[in-house]
Amino acid sequence: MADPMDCALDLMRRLPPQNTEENLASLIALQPDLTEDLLNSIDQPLKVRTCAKSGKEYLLCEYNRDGNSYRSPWSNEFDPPLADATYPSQNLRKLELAANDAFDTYRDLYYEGGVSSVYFWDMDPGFAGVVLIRKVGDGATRMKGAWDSIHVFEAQEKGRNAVYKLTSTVMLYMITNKPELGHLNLSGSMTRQAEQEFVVEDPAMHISNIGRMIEEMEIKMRHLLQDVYFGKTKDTINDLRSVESLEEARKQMEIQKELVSKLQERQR
Amino acid sequence: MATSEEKIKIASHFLRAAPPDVRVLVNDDNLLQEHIMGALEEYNVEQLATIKVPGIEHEVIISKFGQIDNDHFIDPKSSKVFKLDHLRQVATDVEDHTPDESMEELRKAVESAVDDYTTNYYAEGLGAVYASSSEGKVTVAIVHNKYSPSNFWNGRWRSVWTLEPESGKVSGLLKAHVHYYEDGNVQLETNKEIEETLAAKYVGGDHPLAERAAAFVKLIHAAETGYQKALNESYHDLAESTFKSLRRALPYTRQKIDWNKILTYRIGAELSSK
Repeated sequence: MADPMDCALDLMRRLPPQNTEENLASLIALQPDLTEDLLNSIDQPLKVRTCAKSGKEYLLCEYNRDGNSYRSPWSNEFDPPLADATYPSQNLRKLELAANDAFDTYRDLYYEGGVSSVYFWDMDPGFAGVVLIRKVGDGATRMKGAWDSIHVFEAQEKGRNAVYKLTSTVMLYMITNKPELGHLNLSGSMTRQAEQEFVVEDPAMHISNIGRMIEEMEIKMRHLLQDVYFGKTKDTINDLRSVESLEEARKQMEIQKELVSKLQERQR
Repeated sequence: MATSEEKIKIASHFLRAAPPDVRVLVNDDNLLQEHIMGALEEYNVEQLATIKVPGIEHEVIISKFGQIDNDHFIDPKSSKVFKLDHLRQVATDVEDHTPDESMEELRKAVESAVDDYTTNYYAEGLGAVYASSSEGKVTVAIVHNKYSPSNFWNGRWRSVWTLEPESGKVSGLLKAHVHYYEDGNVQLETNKEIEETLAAKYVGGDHPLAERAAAFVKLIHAAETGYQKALNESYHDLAESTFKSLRRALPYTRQKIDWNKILTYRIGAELSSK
């Protein structure tokens, strides 16, 4: 029999993305041994919590979770408090704070709202991290939308350079209701990967390197999402059913063919 | 660990949503074989599965309107009844079926109008028309499935329309679904319910059946085109307003971010001061 983990991932790709959380819970019920692996490899919609110390909002994901507690990127404290938690090393925490600050600016410029959080963790060697951004549309004109960006990266220093491996997922949800249309839900996620090498003269340069990579990736993915969401799925519907009569279209084609062949005859 | 009952419930749900290799995940074949047929039956009937039936030239729609028991279905157009293997989608035991005489004439008139309509507005769509005198209803099922595994997408249009000839009441349920899964998983799900009434002159009495059928299908045509146009408009609105307001293509400065500056002004100082 095939590997249960492969089957689970394959299944999740085929199930409606609108129900990711429920489907994931069901998979875990069937295969409890895979719980950690499944939680790590299937992206779920991001949840928002408010940091008790700073009053600022932050995002929850697998990478800032320890048991049932989540670490705030602003205060570095777990909520609910944990006695025996793992934190980034002191230097990495400095870098993490700076990255949160930088991506806060990034978020503001591109999203004009929303919440962002950056979490780093030590690797041996190097380090890894995740940059999260969530923006929920205001739901004006009966249309609701939400965008979740999840960028997971690994940084390995190589002499004066560092190699970054990035896996980016964007989850985009759109729901609308109106009398002529009924109910519409256009949702899902897309994932892309990239690998790049940059110079790192001082630790702070990690942030600008990762920043550039993520900015490029999000620009690329925004195009891709636009193409798939509003191009491909729309074309598919209009290929199934035609607004205009196909019979008429066929007749027009015939007439055109006839005209072309007559013109060609004349030119001979 | 989930109980057997929970496992079946979960597997049935997965099967209905995405008929896949659920066997591996449940890891209990006896349990599956015993209970999963119900889920497959529900899937085939709900999705208006289309199948080839030996001796019938056209493709046949599987729907609850032509369902006799768990695995026997009617094809009204050919007046045949057959047995369906829900797992393999294979039909056997094809036999003649006696239609509901009191409504057969109206059913045939609607069928002919629906056939014209589907060839005219669906690339390869199928329609089936059922009649039930006990319920006093004529039901139209239209389905168009298109699978393009090499391009990682599939699309499905389904509509079900019911006419009560005595009252002229028409109800419709339209559903469209698109799944795109190249390096991702994007789905469009949309549906609309419609309640209308045929013009009084087509209701009851002895109005020519062909005209009554034509009026019914004309109503279907107008409603489906209206729905499709509204869908296309919504695409435009979502792209132009909802999508744009979530994330800009570029910051208002129309330039990409200067990451060195972000560092210099906001971070550099902090990092070097420690």
